[in-house]
Amino acid sequence: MSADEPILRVDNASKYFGGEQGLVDVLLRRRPTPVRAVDSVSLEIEQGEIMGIAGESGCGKTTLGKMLVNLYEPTAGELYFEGTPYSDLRGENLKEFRKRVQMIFQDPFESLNPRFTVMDTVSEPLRVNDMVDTYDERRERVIRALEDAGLEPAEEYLRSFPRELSGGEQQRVAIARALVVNPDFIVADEPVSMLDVSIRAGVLNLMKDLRDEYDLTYVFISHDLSLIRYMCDRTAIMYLGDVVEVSDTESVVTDPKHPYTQALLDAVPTPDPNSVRNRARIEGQIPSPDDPPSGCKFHPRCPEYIGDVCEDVDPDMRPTDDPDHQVTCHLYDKPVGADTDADRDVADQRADD
Amino acid sequence: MTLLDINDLDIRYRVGEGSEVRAVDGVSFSIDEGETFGLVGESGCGKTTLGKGIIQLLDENGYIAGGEINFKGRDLTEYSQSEIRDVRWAEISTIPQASMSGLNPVYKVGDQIAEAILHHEPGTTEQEADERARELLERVGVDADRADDYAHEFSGGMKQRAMIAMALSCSPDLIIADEPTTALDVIVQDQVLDELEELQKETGVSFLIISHDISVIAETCDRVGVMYGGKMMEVGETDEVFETPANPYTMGLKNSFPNIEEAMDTLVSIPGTPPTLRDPAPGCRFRDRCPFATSECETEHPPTYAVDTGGVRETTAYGEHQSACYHLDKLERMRREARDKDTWAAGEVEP
Ligand SMILES: Nc1ncnc2c1ncn2[C@@H]1O[C@H](COP(=O)(O)OP(=O)(O)OP(=O)(O)O)[C@@H](O)[C@H]1O
Ligand SMILES: Nc1ncnc2c1ncn2[C@@H]1O[C@H](COP(=O)(O)OP(=O)(O)O)[C@@H](O)[C@H]1O
Ligand code: SF4
Ligand code: SF4
Ligand SMILES: [Mg+2]
Ligand SMILES: [Mg+2]
Repeated sequence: MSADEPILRVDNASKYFGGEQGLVDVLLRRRPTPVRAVDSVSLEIEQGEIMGIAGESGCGKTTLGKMLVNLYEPTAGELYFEGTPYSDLRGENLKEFRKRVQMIFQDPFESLNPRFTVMDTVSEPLRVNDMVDTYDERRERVIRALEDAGLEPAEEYLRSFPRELSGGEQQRVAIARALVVNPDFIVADEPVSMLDVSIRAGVLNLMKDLRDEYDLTYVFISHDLSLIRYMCDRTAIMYLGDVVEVSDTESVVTDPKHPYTQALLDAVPTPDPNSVRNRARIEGQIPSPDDPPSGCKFHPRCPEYIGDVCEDVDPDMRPTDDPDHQVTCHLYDKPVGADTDADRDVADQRADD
Repeated sequence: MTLLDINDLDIRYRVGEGSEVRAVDGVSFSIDEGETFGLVGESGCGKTTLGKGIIQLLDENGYIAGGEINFKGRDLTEYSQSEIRDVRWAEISTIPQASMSGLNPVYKVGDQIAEAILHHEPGTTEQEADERARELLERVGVDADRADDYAHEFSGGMKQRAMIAMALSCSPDLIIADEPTTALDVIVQDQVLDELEELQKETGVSFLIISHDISVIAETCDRVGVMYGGKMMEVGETDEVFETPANPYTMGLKNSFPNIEEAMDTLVSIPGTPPTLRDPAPGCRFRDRCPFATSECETEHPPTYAVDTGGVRETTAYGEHQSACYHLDKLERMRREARDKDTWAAGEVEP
C-alpha cells in the first residue's frame, strides 16, 4: 500500500439489481431493465475521518454502504481496502477484512434477533470469526464492547432480550456488536433514524468519542443533512445512484455547488422560528432508477439547466474553483479552449479499462 | 375568535387488569380562527391520541375520561357518535398519521375525493363532485388529469397532497394533520409544507399540526404546545417557546436537535428515556430526567403557570406563555445552565 493510499477507495463501482432474465421474461420476450442503484461511483475515504453519505430515499445510500463492507459485489468497477482490491479478498485476507470492517444497520429493531440475548447478539461476530476460544474471554470482550457503547453496568444487560430494551439501548447493542471485533472501519446506516430526538444525541456523541478513542473510520449514512453537518468531516451527496458532489462538510453545507445539493439544502427546515429560508426551487419527483434520464440525471428538474449538453453528456466528476470540492455538473465545465489534458487522461483511463 | 378550546382533557386507554394508559392527562390549549397550532413531542407522548380524541376516532379501548373540547362554543365530548360524524369532514377534517395508506389503492383518487364530497353534501351532483375533486387536486399541486389514476400510482408526496385535497373537500374550519410530512423526503416535505402554508393563506382554515420534528413546527406554526408523557409542558407563541423556552423539557429538546444553519460543537441528549404512561407515578412526569428536579417535583405534576409571573399565577388562557414547572422563579438560571452540557450529564443539580 502506498503512503497516500486512502483506507478505502471506490473506483467506478456500480451495483445493478435485477438485470438477469427470469424464465417469465424469456417467455414474454421481455428484456428487464436493471435498477441502477449505484452507478459508477468513485470515492476515497481517509483513515480516521467520518465520511457522510446523504441523499433522498432510494438514491442508493444503503446499497453503496453494503458494497463498502463487501456484502454486495459490484456489478462493475472495484473497491480497495488499504490498496487491496475486494475481488482479491479470500482466505485469511477475507477473514481479516471481515473483522476490520463492520456495518451498523438502518433499523435496530430489525437487525437484532428478538430471540437472542444481548450476550448472544454481541458475541456472535466473535464466534463467526473464530476469534476467542473460552467463554470467559468471550464474555470479557462482550462486556468491554457494551461498556464502550455506553451500556453500564454491562453485566446487567447480558441476559436482556431486545424487547426489554429502549430504542436507544437497542441501538447501543448494535454498536457494541460492531465494536466487539475491534474494527477499523464502520459503515453506519441511518444509525439514529429510529430513535427519539432526546436520546439521539447520546448515540451520535458516543460514535464521535469512539472515533477519537480508537481512531476509527466511519461512513455515516443519513438522509438528514442536519445530522450530517453535525457528524461528518466530509460529505458525498447522492442522486439516483450517482455521487454528485463531494467535499468537506462545511463547504458542502455552506457553499453547495451542485444545483441538486442547493435544492436539497434549501429544503431543510430549521428549528429557529425566525430564520428565513429560500424554498427549494425544484419541481417534480425523483425519476425511477430503472430508467434514469439521459446525460445529467438531474436535468429534468434542474433550475440551472444550461441546454443540450445537460441532456446529452453525462457530466464527469470535476473540481470547482476549490480543487477539493468536486461536482458532476456542466456549470463547471472548463471554458472552451482551456486545457483539457485532465479530461483526456480520464478518457484514456476509460479506454484502458 | 377562539375556534377550539380544549380544557383539562383526559384521554385514557384500558389495558386490562384495571390498568390504564393516561395518554392525554389534563391538557388545555386553544386555537384561534385562522391560526396554525403545532403540537410537538416525542414518540408516545400522546399527540396522536389527542388529535384522534378531538373527533372521537380513538381506538376501541380508548375513551375520554374528563375535560372539555369546546369547538365553536359546543362541547364535542358530549356528542354522540352520530352527532360527531356530522362534524367530521364538514367542520373538522383530519390527515391521519401514515395517511399515505389512508387512500384506497384500488379506487381512482378523484373518485375517492368526490365520494367524500357527495357523502357530506348530499345536494351535490356526481358531476359537480367530480369537478370539485379535480379543482382540489389542482389546488394542492396535483395535475387534474391525475384524478383518474389509482392511488397506488401516486408517489408518497402525491398521496399526501391527495389526502390534503380530501381534507379540504368540505371546506372545514379546522384541519388536524398528524405527522403530515414524516414519511416524506426533505424536498417533498418542503413542497407539502409550502402547500399547507398557501392553503392557510387562501382559505383561512385553522390547522393543528402534530409532529415530533421541532423544525417542521418552528417553520409552520404561529403557536406551539410541547407535550411530554401525556402532559402539556409549555404553550406559547412559536418564537417565544423556541427562543426563550420556559420549561426544562423544552430546553433539553432544543439542545438535542441539530440545526443545519449552525456548526454545532455538541448536541446534548436528555439522560434516560421517556416515561411509561401506564399507571404513572405521582410527581412531575419529567422529574426522572430533569436536572432541576427537587423534592417538590415528586409531589404531583405541576400546574401550568404564567411564565411572566415567575410561577405565581396559574393560567391556561389563550395568548399567555405558560409552563408546567415548579421552578419558574429560577427561570433565568435554568435557561443559562441548560445550555451547559454538564448540566445534563446524569446526576442531579440543585436549582
Ligand atoms: N390502543 C392503545 N392501547 C394502549 N395504549 C395505547 C394505544 N394507543 C396508544 N397507546 C399509548 O398511548 C400513548 C400515546 O400514544 P400516541 O399514539 O398518541 O403517541 P404519539 O405521541 O402520537 O406517538 P408517535 O409519534 O409514536 O405516533 C403511548 O404510550 C402509547 O403506547
Ligand atoms: N435487493 C434489491 N433488489 C432490487 N432493488 C433493490 C435492492 N436493494 C435496493 N434496491 C433498489 O435500489 C435503489 C437504492 O436503494 P437503497 O440503496 O436501499 O436506497 P436508500 O438507502 O438511499 O433509501 C432503490 O431503487 C431500491 O429500490
Ligand atoms: S449538468 Fe446541467 S442539468 Fe445537470 S445539474 Fe448541472 S446544470 Fe443542471
Ligand atoms: S417541575 Fe421539577 S421536574 Fe418538572 S420540569 Fe420543573 S424542575 Fe423539572
Ligand atoms: Mg436506506
Ligand atoms: Mg403519533
